[in-house]
Amino acid sequence: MAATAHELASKKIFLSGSSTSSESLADLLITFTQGTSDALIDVQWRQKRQLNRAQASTLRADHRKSFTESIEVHARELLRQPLSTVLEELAATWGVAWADVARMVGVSVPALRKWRTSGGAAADNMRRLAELTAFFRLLKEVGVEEPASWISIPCVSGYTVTPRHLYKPGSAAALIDLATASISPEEVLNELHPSWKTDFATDFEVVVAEDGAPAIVAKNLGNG
Amino acid sequence: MADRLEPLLSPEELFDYRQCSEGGVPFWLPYSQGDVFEQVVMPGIENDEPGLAMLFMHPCTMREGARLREAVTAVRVTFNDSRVLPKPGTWANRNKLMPLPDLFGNGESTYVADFMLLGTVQSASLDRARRVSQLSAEGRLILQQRLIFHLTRHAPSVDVLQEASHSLELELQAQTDWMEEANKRGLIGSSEDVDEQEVVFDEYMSAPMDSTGSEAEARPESRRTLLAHPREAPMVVRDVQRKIKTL
Repeated sequence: MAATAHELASKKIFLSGSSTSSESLADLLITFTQGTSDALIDVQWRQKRQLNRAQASTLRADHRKSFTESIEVHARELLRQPLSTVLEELAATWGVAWADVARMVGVSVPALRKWRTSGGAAADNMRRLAELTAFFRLLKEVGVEEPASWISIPCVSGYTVTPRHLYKPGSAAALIDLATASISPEEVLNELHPSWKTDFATDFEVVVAEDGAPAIVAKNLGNG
Repeated sequence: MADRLEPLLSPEELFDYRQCSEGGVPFWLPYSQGDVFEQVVMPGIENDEPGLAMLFMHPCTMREGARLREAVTAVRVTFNDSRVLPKPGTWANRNKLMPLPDLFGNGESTYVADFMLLGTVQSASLDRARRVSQLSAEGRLILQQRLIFHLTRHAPSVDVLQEASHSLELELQAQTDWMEEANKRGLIGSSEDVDEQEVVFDEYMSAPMDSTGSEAEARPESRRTLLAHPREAPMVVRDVQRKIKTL
């Protein structure tokens, strides 16, 4: 009697190995299970899912790499410019608040003001500012209309975490993945800030009150 | 939701400007919640002796147009310890105050803003030239959280506070950029000049957004109103930056 799909799965015959060996195994299984269409279909589906997962993983890594390379190209170009020009781009082109730049790069606002006027930033700070500016450029390139707004939008309802919180050296490509909807917010949060559910949970939200000013209210109660 | 107070920041993160820091506290800096001044008389407190006081009123309400209101609320700032006490544990369960470690930037002491010593002062007594410190944006959020906790025993998340006050923070930064550029261009030589530039800035922010010299569409709303909308705020930031170049 031919094996059932469940029996085949429990033996995990086709859950390992390269795609080539999986294909060979599938051929064998087709022979074994001739006449048992459920089992055959199950084998084929599992095999396709395995292959797709492997391919998706490769594509994701390649895609991320391309984002990282794009940021690096922009950053190299920005590092050839005076720092005041880079800071000017952040403020006058992208409309980013100094406090957000300071938080994302890990420096103080007065330091940014000083560097904008008279330079003098250390090489690592210049590098981080160039990478941040490159990040904004790439956000625009991938279709984010207003990158400075996007970084302040909560990733998931019920949590205060925004892309601004997640940005750090090395995380830019993952955030571009998020911006392009190539990855879910939960996936990127698990990757970049695994304790996000405890660190950023909130029962409150900011709404526009009747007087037109922002107000903090409990969620689900609204402002009505 | 935060269920407890945020850990206190290091002095370097808590303050943007202090007297002893490089460049001191520029006298053209816009007034901001948490600014500490010296030689302030607080009626009914400490026998009306002049001392340190923190500008306390919420940034939404401290101004009337471009100017500070004639009377504003302030909190007495007192000496606490001869050491700098930035460690978070130091301040556990001490909820009636805002710690100000290394207020003077000389590494020698800790002061506190005492929420129990709250009063109204003439804004004229908050002399720009006698400003001792200005908190950072994060420092102001810590102050707001501690104040709310003191009054209600509820500690809202600083992220929620940040979202609620974001447009005010953006305007404060834009105004600081404006004043800094005006100072650089020699437009500010006195306190009166600062007042004058603040009026010009206020008028600019109160005016509808026009499309002159910018890629932005003309809008009937004022720049200040647009700044409160997250999607429009960057457009206003860009617009102000362009305007600053023409001062």
